[in-house]
Amino acid sequence: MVKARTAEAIDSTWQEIRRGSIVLAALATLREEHYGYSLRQALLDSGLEVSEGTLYPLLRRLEGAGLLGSRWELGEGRPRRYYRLSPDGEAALEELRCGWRKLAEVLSGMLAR
Amino acid sequence: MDLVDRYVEAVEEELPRRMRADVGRELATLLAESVEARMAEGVPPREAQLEVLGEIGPPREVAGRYAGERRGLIGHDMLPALWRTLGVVAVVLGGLSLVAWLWQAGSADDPGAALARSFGEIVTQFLSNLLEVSGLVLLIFAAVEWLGLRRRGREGTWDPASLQQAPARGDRVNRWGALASTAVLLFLLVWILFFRDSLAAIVSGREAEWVRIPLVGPGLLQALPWLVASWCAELVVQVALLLRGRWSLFWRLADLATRLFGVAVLGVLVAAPAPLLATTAAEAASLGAHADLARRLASELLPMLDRLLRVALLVGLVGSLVGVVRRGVRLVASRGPGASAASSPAGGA
Repeated sequence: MVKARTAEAIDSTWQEIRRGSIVLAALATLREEHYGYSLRQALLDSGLEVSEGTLYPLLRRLEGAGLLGSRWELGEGRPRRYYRLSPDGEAALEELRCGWRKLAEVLSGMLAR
Repeated sequence: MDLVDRYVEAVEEELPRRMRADVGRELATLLAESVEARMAEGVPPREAQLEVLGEIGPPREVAGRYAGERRGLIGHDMLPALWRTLGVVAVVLGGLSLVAWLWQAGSADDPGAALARSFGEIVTQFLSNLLEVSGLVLLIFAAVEWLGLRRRGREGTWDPASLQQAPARGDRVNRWGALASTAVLLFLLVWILFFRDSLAAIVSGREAEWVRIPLVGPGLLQALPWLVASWCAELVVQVALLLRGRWSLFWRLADLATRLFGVAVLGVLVAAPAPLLATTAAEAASLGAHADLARRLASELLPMLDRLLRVALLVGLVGSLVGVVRRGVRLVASRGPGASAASSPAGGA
């Protein structure tokens, strides 16, 4: 049985890993335009469940960092804020993707032993 | 108003002002969409709202994520508590200083003169104490922040249904406003009942000393019972609002009635036939003023001050009337068809 302290350490490590992965997943998915709810559904369809309380504020922060652009659509229905990767975001995604691949290779090798 | 609206309001209140409207609008849309998706799966409306809000987390936490990472000594989610604590500290220290001021003056031979003399000293003491205690409070908050103590205590305590008990924004009493009004009314009552003689002219006497001539005139004395009754009524309403924390129809009407009463008393004072400020040349001279100065004070200076006071009271009356109209409009708005539907128990389902 895993001790409480160990479980806490595992949980916190997993949260850290997920936090970075969610940013990468959101950026990759936002090569196509999405609003918050549709992005969450798209991530869910790809097998990544992200809580609304994490995802929606994250979109704002990525926009604040210049990686996303956004626009409000005020049609007949409910007003929606759509997000899409900005040119800076595309460059950042490319860099992050290369880094991720290298890291995944290294880690796969280490974890396979 | 449903739970989602209350939740969005609660998040907005924790956010910096510049972000509120934009984040609030987006969050309301997104949450409504999530709730609808659950309802489409057959979940009843109230349960769907509770599920979505339960999963997204407490308003303060979510607002903290929107506002970004900690950049200063105190994290964003702790700032409202810090401001509240500093406010309480300021009010408590202000109250203690007021009591000390009145106590010192009351035990002096000449309370009126002692009040004026010790005012600067009390204000300096108050500011110095405020700085000292605020620094200590800031240090304690910083320690709690950096040691992460607050997070442990809050885990597992988020219940979205608790939002239902919180009053809607329009029904919430501004506690700081009520507290300030209470303090001002208490001060006015203590002053008018026990220290009204401090309203005096200080003139040079026959023997080169300073002489105090009390100025409260018959017009003010005749209106005194009404003035005290009006301030007492307002005090009762403010204390009740402070304790209740939310408006109701009864307390809105009571507030309106006491304000109207106050306006009427101000009207009586402005139109009083007897002077509000007065003394006679003989009285002033008997207290030690030069005969010439006493005559000028009674016949020229005081009538002019009396007129100035009435103009000031008239301005106060107009301001109070505007306040009464605003309260009347708020009362009607809070009883409107939309408002009554929103505040009914069914509105939260």
